[in-house]
Amino acid sequence: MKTINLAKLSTPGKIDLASAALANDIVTLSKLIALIPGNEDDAGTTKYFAIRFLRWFENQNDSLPFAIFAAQGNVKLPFYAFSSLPGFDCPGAGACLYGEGKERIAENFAKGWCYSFKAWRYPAAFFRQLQNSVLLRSSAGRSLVESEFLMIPENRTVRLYVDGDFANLAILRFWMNLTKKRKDLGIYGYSKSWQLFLDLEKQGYEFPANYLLNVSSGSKYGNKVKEKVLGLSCTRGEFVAVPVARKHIASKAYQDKDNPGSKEYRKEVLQRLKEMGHAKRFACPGNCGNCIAKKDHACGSDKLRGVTIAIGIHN
Amino acid sequence: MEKQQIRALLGQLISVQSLLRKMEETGFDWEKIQEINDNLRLIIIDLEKAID
Repeated sequence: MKTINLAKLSTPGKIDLASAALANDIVTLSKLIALIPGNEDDAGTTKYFAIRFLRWFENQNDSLPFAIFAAQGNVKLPFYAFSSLPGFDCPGAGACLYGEGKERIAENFAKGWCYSFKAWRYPAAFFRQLQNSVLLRSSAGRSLVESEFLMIPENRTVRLYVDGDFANLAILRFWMNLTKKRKDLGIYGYSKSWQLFLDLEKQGYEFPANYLLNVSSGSKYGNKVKEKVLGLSCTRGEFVAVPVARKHIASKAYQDKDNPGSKEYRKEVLQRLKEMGHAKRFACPGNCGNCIAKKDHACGSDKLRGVTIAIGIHN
Repeated sequence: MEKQQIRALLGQLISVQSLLRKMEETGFDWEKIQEINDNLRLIIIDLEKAID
């Protein structure tokens, strides 16, 4: 068995831990969690969350340690977010997961620019993702997800997959069927699992009217598949990452339109999009739900169909 | 319930209290609410286990 960094649970350590949980290898999982330093009673620590995750994993009839849907957003506009593990649940991931021009091999896993691994700094976020990935892999788990989904208050926005992606066709169908059960919810998300959407459509499946797909960059699929996905009834448009000057990232101008430098940052993003040949363009200002108008998300808005939305990443 | 378990629960509650105090200073934040919810959820699970 590999040893893990004892100073803290590093990303490779978390990858090992997630691999053990998804392989249902309780022995390895227990050993890895035992190696995490700290006191299990110290609230908010990795050890604290890991032990509670393990207790649930050993007896999945117990109460879930983490809420399946997390509340996010701003003061006036909360939205519900669903996440699962990045990478493990991303069959369409390419450069975002393995790095530009890198081989899709285990050694390069998590070496790309995928922002979701940054969320692993927060142990509760990592274990929520892991719990959700475990749940989606069994019918009993999916029933739990369904019952929590049906309890979301009326007329809310749900962001389906902040981290992670549709892992297979059965899971994509599961979510689309659930979406149809809650026509009051506005559901949108990002995906690189393009082939799954095409496979589902090929089966004659009708996508729900209240789901909007953002076709995100970094996929392993080429332009031919992308063009087909862009033609689906559920697709809003592309969501891409474009290289911008490092200063915009360092200054956090990309995080909120009220942050200093945001205007300049967005101008650069729009310029990059123009150079790439996108006719209709929108620069994401970073603060989700506060980008176009009150109570609307650009990525989840029908009005932005056909518009390419972009965020900046540093070179 | 043993004294050690009570002490651990107290620590968990103090951590929730500090999250609320932090939000009093920095303003309302859904992410913080989620963190508080997560902590309360685990405290309830720990209490349920202790009672069982």
